[in-house]
Amino acid sequence: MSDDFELAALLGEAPATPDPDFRFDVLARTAERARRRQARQNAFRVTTMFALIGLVFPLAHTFGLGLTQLQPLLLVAGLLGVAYVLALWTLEGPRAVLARSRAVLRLPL
Amino acid sequence: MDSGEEARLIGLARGGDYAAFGRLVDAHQGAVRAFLRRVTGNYADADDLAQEAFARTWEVLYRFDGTSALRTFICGVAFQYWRRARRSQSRREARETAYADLSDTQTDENPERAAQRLALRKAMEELPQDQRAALALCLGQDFTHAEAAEILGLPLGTVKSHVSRGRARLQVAFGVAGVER
Repeated sequence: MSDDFELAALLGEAPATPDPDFRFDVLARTAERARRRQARQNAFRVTTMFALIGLVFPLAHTFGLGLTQLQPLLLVAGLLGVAYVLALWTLEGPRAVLARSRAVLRLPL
Repeated sequence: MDSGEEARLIGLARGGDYAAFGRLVDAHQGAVRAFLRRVTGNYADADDLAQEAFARTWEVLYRFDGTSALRTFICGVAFQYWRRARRSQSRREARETAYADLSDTQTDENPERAAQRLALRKAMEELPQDQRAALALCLGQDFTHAEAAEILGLPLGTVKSHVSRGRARLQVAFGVAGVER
Protein backbone atom coordinates (compact mmCIF):
# COMPACT_ATOMS: atom_id res chain seq x y z
CA MET A 1 0.00 0.00 0.00
CA SER A 2 3.00 2.28 0.45
CA ASP A 3 3.63 2.32 -3.28
CA ASP A 4 3.51 5.86 -4.67
CA PHE A 5 1.33 4.99 -7.62
CA GLU A 6 -1.24 3.32 -5.42
CA LEU A 7 -1.31 6.28 -3.07
CA ALA A 8 -1.70 8.59 -6.05
CA ALA A 9 -4.50 6.46 -7.46
CA LEU A 10 -6.31 6.53 -4.13
CA LEU A 11 -6.00 10.30 -3.90
CA GLY A 12 -7.35 10.92 -7.38
CA GLU A 13 -6.82 9.58 -10.85
CA ALA A 14 -6.72 11.34 -14.18
CA PRO A 15 -9.26 10.28 -16.80
CA ALA A 16 -7.87 7.44 -18.88
CA THR A 17 -8.49 9.23 -22.18
CA PRO A 18 -9.01 12.91 -23.05
CA ASP A 19 -12.57 13.85 -22.19
CA PRO A 20 -14.33 15.74 -25.04
CA ASP A 21 -16.95 17.09 -22.61
CA PHE A 22 -14.21 18.65 -20.53
CA ARG A 23 -12.71 20.30 -23.62
CA PHE A 24 -16.14 21.60 -24.62
CA ASP A 25 -16.67 23.08 -21.15
CA VAL A 26 -13.25 24.74 -21.22
CA LEU A 27 -13.93 26.33 -24.60
CA ALA A 28 -17.37 27.49 -23.45
CA ARG A 29 -15.82 29.12 -20.37
CA THR A 30 -13.09 30.68 -22.46
CA ALA A 31 -15.63 32.23 -24.82
CA GLU A 32 -17.77 33.41 -21.90
CA ARG A 33 -14.79 35.07 -20.23
CA ALA A 34 -13.83 36.77 -23.49
CA ARG A 35 -17.39 38.05 -23.88
CA ARG A 36 -17.41 39.40 -20.32
CA ARG A 37 -14.05 41.08 -20.79
CA GLN A 38 -15.27 42.73 -23.97
CA ALA A 39 -18.44 43.90 -22.21
CA ARG A 40 -16.38 45.38 -19.35
CA GLN A 41 -14.15 47.22 -21.80
CA ASN A 42 -17.17 48.58 -23.66
CA ALA A 43 -18.81 49.71 -20.43
CA PHE A 44 -15.59 51.43 -19.37
CA ARG A 45 -15.25 53.16 -22.75
CA VAL A 46 -18.85 54.42 -22.77
CA THR A 47 -18.66 55.58 -19.14
CA THR A 48 -15.40 57.42 -19.77
CA MET A 49 -16.75 59.08 -22.90
CA PHE A 50 -19.90 60.35 -21.21
CA ALA A 51 -17.95 61.46 -18.15
CA LEU A 52 -15.63 63.51 -20.36
CA ILE A 53 -18.57 65.03 -22.23
CA GLY A 54 -20.18 65.86 -18.90
CA LEU A 55 -16.95 67.48 -17.71
CA VAL A 56 -16.83 69.92 -20.62
CA PHE A 57 -19.57 72.19 -19.25
CA PRO A 58 -18.36 72.61 -15.65
CA LEU A 59 -14.80 73.13 -16.89
CA ALA A 60 -15.91 75.72 -19.41
CA HIS A 61 -17.93 77.43 -16.69
CA THR A 62 -14.86 77.44 -14.42
CA PHE A 63 -12.82 79.19 -17.09
CA GLY A 64 -15.56 81.77 -17.58
CA LEU A 65 -16.94 80.47 -20.86
CA GLY A 66 -20.69 80.70 -21.28
CA LEU A 67 -22.95 78.78 -23.62
CA THR A 68 -22.70 81.55 -26.26
CA GLN A 69 -18.91 81.35 -26.44
CA LEU A 70 -19.03 77.56 -26.48
CA GLN A 71 -21.57 77.36 -29.32
CA PRO A 72 -19.06 76.95 -32.21
CA LEU A 73 -17.16 74.30 -30.28
CA LEU A 74 -20.33 72.40 -29.44
CA LEU A 75 -21.43 72.59 -33.07
CA VAL A 76 -18.15 71.04 -34.24
CA ALA A 77 -18.28 68.38 -31.51
CA GLY A 78 -21.88 67.55 -32.45
CA LEU A 79 -20.98 67.25 -36.13
CA LEU A 80 -18.03 65.01 -35.31
CA GLY A 81 -20.27 62.84 -33.12
CA VAL A 82 -22.87 62.45 -35.85
CA ALA A 83 -20.13 61.66 -38.38
CA TYR A 84 -18.74 58.99 -36.05
CA VAL A 85 -22.14 57.37 -35.57
CA LEU A 86 -22.77 57.39 -39.32
CA ALA A 87 -19.35 55.88 -40.00
CA LEU A 88 -19.98 53.20 -37.40
CA TRP A 89 -23.38 52.43 -38.91
CA THR A 90 -21.81 52.13 -42.37
CA LEU A 91 -19.20 49.71 -41.09
CA GLU A 92 -21.16 47.70 -38.57
CA GLY A 93 -24.84 48.49 -39.00
CA PRO A 94 -27.57 46.21 -40.37
CA ARG A 95 -26.72 47.19 -43.97
CA ALA A 96 -22.99 47.53 -43.46
CA VAL A 97 -21.81 48.42 -46.96
CA LEU A 98 -18.18 48.65 -45.84
CA ALA A 99 -18.22 45.56 -43.61
CA ARG A 100 -16.28 43.54 -46.18
CA SER A 101 -13.59 46.22 -46.48
CA ARG A 102 -13.29 46.31 -42.70
CA ALA A 103 -12.97 42.52 -42.52
CA VAL A 104 -10.18 42.62 -45.12
CA LEU A 105 -8.34 45.37 -43.25
CA ARG A 106 -9.10 43.78 -39.83
CA LEU A 107 -9.84 47.15 -38.29
CA PRO A 108 -10.71 47.16 -34.61
CA LEU A 109 -13.30 49.81 -33.83
CA MET B 1 2.37 15.24 -28.65
CA ASP B 2 5.89 16.25 -29.73
CA SER B 3 7.30 19.66 -28.85
CA GLY B 4 7.27 20.93 -32.46
CA GLU B 5 3.59 20.19 -32.86
CA GLU B 6 2.86 21.72 -29.46
CA ALA B 7 4.74 24.90 -30.37
CA ARG B 8 2.75 25.11 -33.60
CA LEU B 9 -0.54 24.71 -31.71
CA ILE B 10 0.50 27.34 -29.15
CA GLY B 11 1.25 29.75 -31.99
CA LEU B 12 -2.17 29.11 -33.51
CA ALA B 13 -3.91 29.45 -30.14
CA ARG B 14 -2.19 32.78 -29.52
CA GLY B 15 -3.66 33.92 -32.82
CA GLY B 16 -7.16 33.05 -31.57
CA ASP B 17 -7.55 29.51 -32.94
CA TYR B 18 -9.97 27.70 -30.60
CA ALA B 19 -9.51 24.34 -32.34
CA ALA B 20 -5.76 24.43 -31.68
CA PHE B 21 -6.38 25.37 -28.07
CA GLY B 22 -8.85 22.48 -27.80
CA ARG B 23 -6.10 20.08 -28.87
CA LEU B 24 -3.80 21.52 -26.22
CA VAL B 25 -6.56 21.03 -23.64
CA ASP B 26 -6.89 17.39 -24.71
CA ALA B 27 -3.14 16.86 -24.46
CA HIS B 28 -2.76 18.31 -20.96
CA GLN B 29 -6.08 17.81 -19.21
CA GLY B 30 -4.99 14.47 -17.70
CA ALA B 31 -2.03 15.86 -15.73
CA VAL B 32 -3.84 19.01 -14.62
CA ARG B 33 -6.99 17.20 -13.53
CA ALA B 34 -5.03 14.50 -11.68
CA PHE B 35 -3.06 17.17 -9.80
CA LEU B 36 -6.20 19.05 -8.78
CA ARG B 37 -8.09 15.89 -7.85
CA ARG B 38 -5.30 14.86 -5.51
CA VAL B 39 -4.93 18.26 -4.00
CA THR B 40 -8.64 19.04 -3.52
CA GLY B 41 -9.92 15.54 -2.81
CA ASN B 42 -13.10 16.40 -4.66
CA TYR B 43 -13.53 15.45 -8.32
CA ALA B 44 -16.21 18.02 -9.13
CA ASP B 45 -14.30 20.92 -7.54
CA ALA B 46 -11.08 19.75 -9.18
CA ASP B 47 -12.59 19.67 -12.66
CA ASP B 48 -14.21 23.07 -12.08
CA LEU B 49 -10.85 24.55 -11.09
CA ALA B 50 -9.15 22.82 -14.01
CA GLN B 51 -11.61 24.39 -16.45
CA GLU B 52 -11.03 27.82 -14.94
CA ALA B 53 -7.29 27.30 -15.12
CA PHE B 54 -7.44 26.35 -18.81
CA ALA B 55 -9.70 29.32 -19.59
CA ARG B 56 -7.26 31.63 -17.81
CA THR B 57 -4.36 30.02 -19.67
CA TRP B 58 -5.99 31.05 -22.94
CA GLU B 59 -5.91 34.67 -21.74
CA VAL B 60 -2.30 34.62 -20.55
CA LEU B 61 -0.82 32.35 -23.21
CA TYR B 62 1.24 35.27 -24.51
CA ARG B 63 3.24 35.10 -21.24
CA PHE B 64 4.36 31.53 -21.95
CA ASP B 65 7.96 31.81 -23.15
CA GLY B 66 8.63 28.12 -23.88
CA THR B 67 11.43 27.74 -21.33
CA SER B 68 9.34 25.17 -19.46
CA ALA B 69 6.70 22.67 -20.53
CA LEU B 70 3.22 24.00 -21.24
CA ARG B 71 1.64 21.63 -18.72
CA THR B 72 3.94 23.12 -16.06
CA PHE B 73 2.69 26.57 -17.00
CA ILE B 74 -0.96 25.45 -16.85
CA CYS B 75 -0.44 23.71 -13.52
CA GLY B 76 1.08 26.92 -12.17
CA VAL B 77 -2.12 28.74 -13.11
CA ALA B 78 -4.19 25.90 -11.61
CA PHE B 79 -2.21 26.08 -8.37
CA GLN B 80 -2.95 29.80 -8.04
CA TYR B 81 -6.66 29.12 -8.58
CA TRP B 82 -6.64 26.34 -5.99
CA ARG B 83 -4.93 28.58 -3.43
CA ARG B 84 -7.49 31.31 -4.05
CA ALA B 85 -10.41 28.87 -3.83
CA ARG B 86 -9.00 27.39 -0.65
CA ARG B 87 -8.97 30.74 1.07
CA SER B 88 -12.70 31.06 0.55
CA GLN B 89 -13.60 27.50 1.50
CA SER B 90 -13.50 26.30 5.04
CA ARG B 91 -11.74 23.08 5.95
CA ARG B 92 -14.80 21.84 7.77
CA GLU B 93 -16.90 22.07 4.64
CA ALA B 94 -14.33 20.01 2.73
CA ARG B 95 -14.39 17.29 5.39
CA GLU B 96 -18.16 17.12 5.33
CA THR B 97 -18.21 16.58 1.60
CA ALA B 98 -15.52 13.88 1.69
CA TYR B 99 -18.02 11.12 2.50
CA ALA B 100 -20.39 12.29 -0.20
CA ASP B 101 -17.54 12.35 -2.74
CA LEU B 102 -16.68 8.77 -1.99
CA SER B 103 -20.16 7.61 -2.82
CA ASP B 104 -20.34 9.91 -5.87
CA THR B 105 -17.09 8.91 -7.53
CA GLN B 106 -16.41 5.33 -6.47
CA THR B 107 -19.73 3.57 -6.24
CA ASP B 108 -18.35 0.11 -7.10
CA GLU B 109 -15.46 0.33 -4.64
CA ASN B 110 -15.10 -2.19 -1.84
CA PRO B 111 -15.54 -0.80 1.71
CA GLU B 112 -11.93 -1.44 2.73
CA ARG B 113 -10.55 0.56 -0.18
CA ALA B 114 -13.12 3.31 0.44
CA ALA B 115 -11.93 3.57 4.03
CA GLN B 116 -8.32 3.76 2.87
CA ARG B 117 -9.21 6.50 0.43
CA LEU B 118 -10.96 8.46 3.14
CA ALA B 119 -8.05 8.08 5.58
CA LEU B 120 -5.67 9.24 2.89
CA ARG B 121 -7.78 12.27 2.07
CA LYS B 122 -7.97 13.23 5.72
CA ALA B 123 -4.21 12.93 6.00
CA MET B 124 -3.82 15.10 2.89
CA GLU B 125 -6.12 17.77 4.30
CA GLU B 126 -3.99 17.99 7.40
CA LEU B 127 -0.82 18.70 5.42
CA PRO B 128 0.36 22.29 4.97
CA GLN B 129 -0.74 23.86 1.68
CA ASP B 130 2.61 23.76 -0.16
CA GLN B 131 3.44 20.26 1.05
CA ARG B 132 0.08 19.01 -0.12
CA ALA B 133 0.50 20.53 -3.56
CA ALA B 134 4.07 19.20 -3.93
CA LEU B 135 2.90 15.74 -3.00
CA ALA B 136 -0.06 15.88 -5.38
CA LEU B 137 2.26 16.82 -8.24
CA CYS B 138 5.02 14.30 -7.62
CA LEU B 139 3.28 11.30 -6.08
CA GLY B 140 2.03 9.72 -9.28
CA GLN B 141 5.27 10.76 -11.00
CA ASP B 142 3.32 13.03 -13.33
CA PHE B 143 5.83 15.79 -12.61
CA THR B 144 9.49 15.85 -11.67
CA HIS B 145 10.65 17.64 -8.53
CA ALA B 146 12.11 20.41 -10.71
CA GLU B 147 8.79 20.90 -12.50
CA ALA B 148 6.93 20.95 -9.19
CA ALA B 149 9.37 23.57 -7.88
CA GLU B 150 8.62 25.74 -10.89
CA ILE B 151 4.86 25.32 -10.56
CA LEU B 152 4.83 26.09 -6.85
CA GLY B 153 7.49 28.79 -6.99
CA LEU B 154 9.58 27.02 -4.34
CA PRO B 155 13.27 26.01 -4.20
CA LEU B 156 14.00 22.48 -5.42
CA GLY B 157 15.31 21.34 -2.02
CA THR B 158 12.11 22.51 -0.32
CA VAL B 159 9.98 20.56 -2.79
CA LYS B 160 12.03 17.39 -2.27
CA SER B 161 11.68 17.80 1.48
CA HIS B 162 7.92 18.44 1.17
CA VAL B 163 7.43 15.31 -0.93
CA SER B 164 9.51 13.13 1.36
CA ARG B 165 7.82 14.32 4.56
CA GLY B 166 4.36 14.31 3.00
CA ARG B 167 4.79 10.77 1.73
CA ALA B 168 5.92 9.66 5.18
CA ARG B 169 2.87 11.22 6.79
CA LEU B 170 0.54 9.53 4.33
CA GLN B 171 2.19 6.21 5.02
CA VAL B 172 1.78 6.79 8.73
CA ALA B 173 -1.89 7.43 8.08
CA PHE B 174 -2.04 3.95 6.60
CA GLY B 175 -0.28 2.49 9.57
CA VAL B 176 2.86 1.47 7.70
CA ALA B 177 5.55 0.58 10.23
CA GLY B 178 9.06 1.97 10.25
CA VAL B 179 8.57 5.27 8.49
CA GLU B 180 9.91 8.59 9.66
CA ARG B 181 7.40 11.17 10.82
